[in-house]
Amino acid sequence: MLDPATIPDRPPPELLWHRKFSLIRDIKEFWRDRELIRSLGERDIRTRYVQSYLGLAWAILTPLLTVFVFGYFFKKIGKVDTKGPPGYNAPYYLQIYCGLLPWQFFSSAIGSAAGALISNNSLLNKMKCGREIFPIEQIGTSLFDMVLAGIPFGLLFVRYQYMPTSTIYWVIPLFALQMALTIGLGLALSTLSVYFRDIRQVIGGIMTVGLFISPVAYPLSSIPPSYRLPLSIVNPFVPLIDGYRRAILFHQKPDLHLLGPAAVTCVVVMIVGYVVFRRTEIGIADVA
Amino acid sequence: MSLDLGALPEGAIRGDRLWKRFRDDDRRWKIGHQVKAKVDQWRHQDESYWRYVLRDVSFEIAPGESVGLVGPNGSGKSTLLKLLTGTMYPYAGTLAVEGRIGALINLSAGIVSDLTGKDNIFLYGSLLGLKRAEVAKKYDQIVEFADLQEAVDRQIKFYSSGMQMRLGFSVACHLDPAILLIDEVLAVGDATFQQRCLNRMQQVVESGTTLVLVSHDLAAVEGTCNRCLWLNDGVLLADGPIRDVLGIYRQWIEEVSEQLQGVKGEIEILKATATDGDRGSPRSDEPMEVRLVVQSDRAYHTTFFLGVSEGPATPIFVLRYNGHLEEGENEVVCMMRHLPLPRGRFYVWVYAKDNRNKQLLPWHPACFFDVIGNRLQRAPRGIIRLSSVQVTGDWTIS
Repeated sequence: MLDPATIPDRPPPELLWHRKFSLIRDIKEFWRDRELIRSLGERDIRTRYVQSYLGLAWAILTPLLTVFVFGYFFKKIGKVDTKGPPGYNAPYYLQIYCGLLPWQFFSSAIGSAAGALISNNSLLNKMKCGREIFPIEQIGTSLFDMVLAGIPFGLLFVRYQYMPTSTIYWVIPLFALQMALTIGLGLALSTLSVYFRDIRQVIGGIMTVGLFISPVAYPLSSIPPSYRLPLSIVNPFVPLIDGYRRAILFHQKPDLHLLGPAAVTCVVVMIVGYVVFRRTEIGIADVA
Repeated sequence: MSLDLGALPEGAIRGDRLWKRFRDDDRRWKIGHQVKAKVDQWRHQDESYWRYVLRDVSFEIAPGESVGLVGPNGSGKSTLLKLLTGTMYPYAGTLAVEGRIGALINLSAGIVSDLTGKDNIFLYGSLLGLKRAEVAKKYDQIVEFADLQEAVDRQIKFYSSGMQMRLGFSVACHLDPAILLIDEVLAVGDATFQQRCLNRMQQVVESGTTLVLVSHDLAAVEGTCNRCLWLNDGVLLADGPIRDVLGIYRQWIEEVSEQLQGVKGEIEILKATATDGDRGSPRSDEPMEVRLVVQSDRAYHTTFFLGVSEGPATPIFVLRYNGHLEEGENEVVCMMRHLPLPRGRFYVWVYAKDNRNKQLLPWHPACFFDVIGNRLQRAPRGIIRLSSVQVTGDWTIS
């Protein structure tokens, strides 16, 4: 039998355990866990839609309603500039939809990713699994919602007899930047909100403000030119949403002078977010 | 002590000087407090924030071993198990766990209450890193073992806690884990299912899976494991063959309970002995005499209870006697004609009440005695013997 008195009060410093980071290993493990992400995503989509009466129809009805309420009030009461650049007569509802779709994806992805580790507490405290799975899965679920919400978007094109322009391929890099921003922010907020529960409350407020400081319901041209660059750095959605609109509706390249700095922000957020996530993830089970 | 840090075979566990600590303050949600804590940490003045729950724990478990983890509440058993599952990280030391882990740490482990039993089985499988097809192959077996054929398409939130446990256990041990970790959950199941779980654990161990079982049910640990770790206050006090470690653990429990003797009842036991009737140690199947000298302040009509245990308060058998106590010193003698105990150390526990059911003495250990005799006959592996009673039988096979 061991005598407890022989054990020191604290471990010798050279014994302290340090986590080794390896991006390659993380990516490998993430790939291995893809099955799990699918299962969790399926679970979330199912619990959200299958048990409600209208089911998947909610995913289509909600954004449609938002677009019309938004469009109506901004156009009639806010008196925003509803004309696109000369020569393109894109209906205002399409312009709003172009901004609202990516913005709603972003705000719902961030909101649910931030809560992912808290709500899956019972799973991740008892099973070994990569914790990044949970926020990423939430982002994936929001992506699924966006695809559903894209169906009425397509129908609106038919309704207005308007063709998406051939510059639409710009959507791919724009969306990649948006995903980088979403993943970085989602990862960092998911662990931080376990330590500081206030974060989840704050997110709701920030997203509401963000909706109005992003050109969702109004065109970029409504923002004074001198504000555009600093705003783009702080809020990459300024050039992103403008870029989506130009690429899909106006047959233009995005404004690269604004998109460049915003892209830097997105990539920095992704890297910092990942590092913050890795560093704070270690103590999750201790405090959750 | 330093361990060779080579590659581990599948199913092996090696912990080397593990430490784990938790924050003990309740203000950590406040950001200002966090900042202060960070500054203190940077100045190495943060020791008072921490409570160490595992201290310098080293052990090595080979593939296929079945290890019981015992210790009083709050001794760090569950924390150690969480380190093994990989949900928590140690503060210091190194830990290597090789192979897929099936864990039943808590009833709700891997269970999502909004999904049906069937969905949960597949979800759990993917948590273990299994492909859908692999889980599908075991699906019928899992449902059958858990006896949930009717309920499997129902949402888990409508399950009883016993059903949840059955599902959790069945999934954990049917998906071919290399290491199976079970934490004090079997108590929820009914007696027949408990026995089936133990049988299943035995099969799993025989198929080469490593088992770590945390339980306060020492009989279950003894029936299932062949090695035992005793954790106390975060320190690994003993590590060895199951019977040896449980022996000293039971003895320790008894010593702790002995402090109860300070709690005096209405009457007091001045002296207690258990002998063969003639100052010698009692022998198996022979008579034993328990002699108590009782001091009483007044006369009572008393009921005495006398129990014999291996240490814990749960007795192997109990004797009861109604009698009259005089004021002053009394001698109470109980003679047993055949002592049904094997070789080993046992404890006499005593309780007394008066004829109005008022407690005169709390249930507490009065003395211990060592039995001379045969070793306890072994039960088949995986079968729990509730207590060690020795009965000599005359067998014939014709």
